[in-house]
Amino acid sequence: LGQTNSSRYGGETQLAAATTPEPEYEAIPMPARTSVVANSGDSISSIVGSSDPVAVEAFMRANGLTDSKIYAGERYVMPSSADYAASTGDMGQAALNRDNARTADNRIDQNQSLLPDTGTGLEVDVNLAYLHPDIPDSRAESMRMMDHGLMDAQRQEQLKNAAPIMGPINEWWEGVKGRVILSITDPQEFVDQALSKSFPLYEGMGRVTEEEFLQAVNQASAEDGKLDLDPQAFDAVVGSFLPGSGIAGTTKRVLGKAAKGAPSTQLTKQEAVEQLRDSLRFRMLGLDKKGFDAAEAIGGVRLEQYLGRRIERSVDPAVDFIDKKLGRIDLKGPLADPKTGVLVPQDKMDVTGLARSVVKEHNFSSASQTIVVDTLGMSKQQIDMLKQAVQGGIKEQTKKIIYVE
Amino acid sequence: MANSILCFKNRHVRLPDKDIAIVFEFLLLSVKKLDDEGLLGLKDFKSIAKSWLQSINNSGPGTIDIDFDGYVCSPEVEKQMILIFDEVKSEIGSYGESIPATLLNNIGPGRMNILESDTRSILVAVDKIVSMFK
Repeated sequence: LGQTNSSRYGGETQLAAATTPEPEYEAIPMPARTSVVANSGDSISSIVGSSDPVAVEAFMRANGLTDSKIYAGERYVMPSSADYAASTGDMGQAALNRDNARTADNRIDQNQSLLPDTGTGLEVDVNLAYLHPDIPDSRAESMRMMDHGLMDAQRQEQLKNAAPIMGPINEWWEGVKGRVILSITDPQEFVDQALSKSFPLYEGMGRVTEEEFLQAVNQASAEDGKLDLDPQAFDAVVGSFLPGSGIAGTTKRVLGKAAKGAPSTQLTKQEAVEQLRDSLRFRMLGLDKKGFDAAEAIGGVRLEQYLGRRIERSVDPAVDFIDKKLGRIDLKGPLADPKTGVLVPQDKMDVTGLARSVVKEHNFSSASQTIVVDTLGMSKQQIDMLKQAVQGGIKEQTKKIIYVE
Repeated sequence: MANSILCFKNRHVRLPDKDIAIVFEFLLLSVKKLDDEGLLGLKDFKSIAKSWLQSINNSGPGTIDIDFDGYVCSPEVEKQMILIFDEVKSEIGSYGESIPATLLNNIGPGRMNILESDTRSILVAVDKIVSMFK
């Protein structure tokens, strides 16, 4: 032994018997066994150069590993054909799952310190256990979505798809300027009409960026700094994107002046654009391909306020939102009417049911990485009860749980 | 979209809230059409189905929590549930490829503003629910 070659992993590959001294007895020829020194960031699959579970398992067998962990600086033997022959792939698959979970975990942990200290949520360590064998298709789905590179790809796709919908946005804006809504006196009817108008724009609203939206608004508005739009009509439009009283106490930032219900207010273009943008943002967070859920929109907006940054509406129906730091978010609550956003009366809130839902999501689901529990409208006592029930139902916390209070 | 996990005994399925809502809207629609014979002797099933739907409509995102265990408490009832959900599948399947939004938003109190729904995804949701009773 002794001749070494640098491997592509930065370690050394040893070629057996290359410079072996003359034997004093007849040697039995042995197949060459190579070895590598693991570098920081290596995993078994990166060393064997394959994600094939059999190859991973063969490596584990060759090195007597029972766990997928390998250590930088340690030397590992590459598997022989006998190791491959003895491998079924089961142990390798389990190791791959753990590797992927660990990688995702590290990615999120690296960002933990960047989270704003808002002081209102309970944040705990993340140990992703998203590969749950009992949930069909969850593994492939999670593997796909956990790749944050794919989230970038998703974003690219959104940008690509944004271009064709600028026409519909402008068209819709022209419709608003037409003031047809002024003739509507029944609020519910108006909400329905507004919803039906905006639904065809789902693809646009769901994918367009804020910059693109503002650009469209600016193009469609008057040049004198004021929108060519009756303020009352504008308030009606903005109001139509809000679920009435349910949101009123929810978020002052989102509602702005529109929440105060001042139809005679003369808005500057900037104010109008901001209000409309926020309203549409609210709509975007509650819209998906199956429809609009006002309660989800409230939860989404409140989470954005809590985090102090924008989140993405997930295009994957398995989860609600995507956040670059929290990953795949599953929303629980608020306990509000999904159609109108009106909160369930406090004394009728099913806190136990909400707690059960959180526990089930934590214990059974592999789809989400973070659970956000919106406690809007609950008393302090109810929130304490909720947290206690959740902690009582979770044996070992493996997901981040955030309470937005 | 919000998803909820439905449990029965030690089994569970995770489904989008909207799909659950649609399935149970159709469950109520189906049981209303069935007479006692059609309901296979399931006592109070109409009111139970109604209470399940009410519970769905009063839930927040991701918090639908139906107490199947409290009602489906014998192998016989489990079998009957499967048969009733077969009726639900027939009812849903009768709409062809998609269920119109106007129908979905009008067949019950409704928990949301729903767009036209792909029939296949709803049938998959029914199958997943039924799989808990098998």
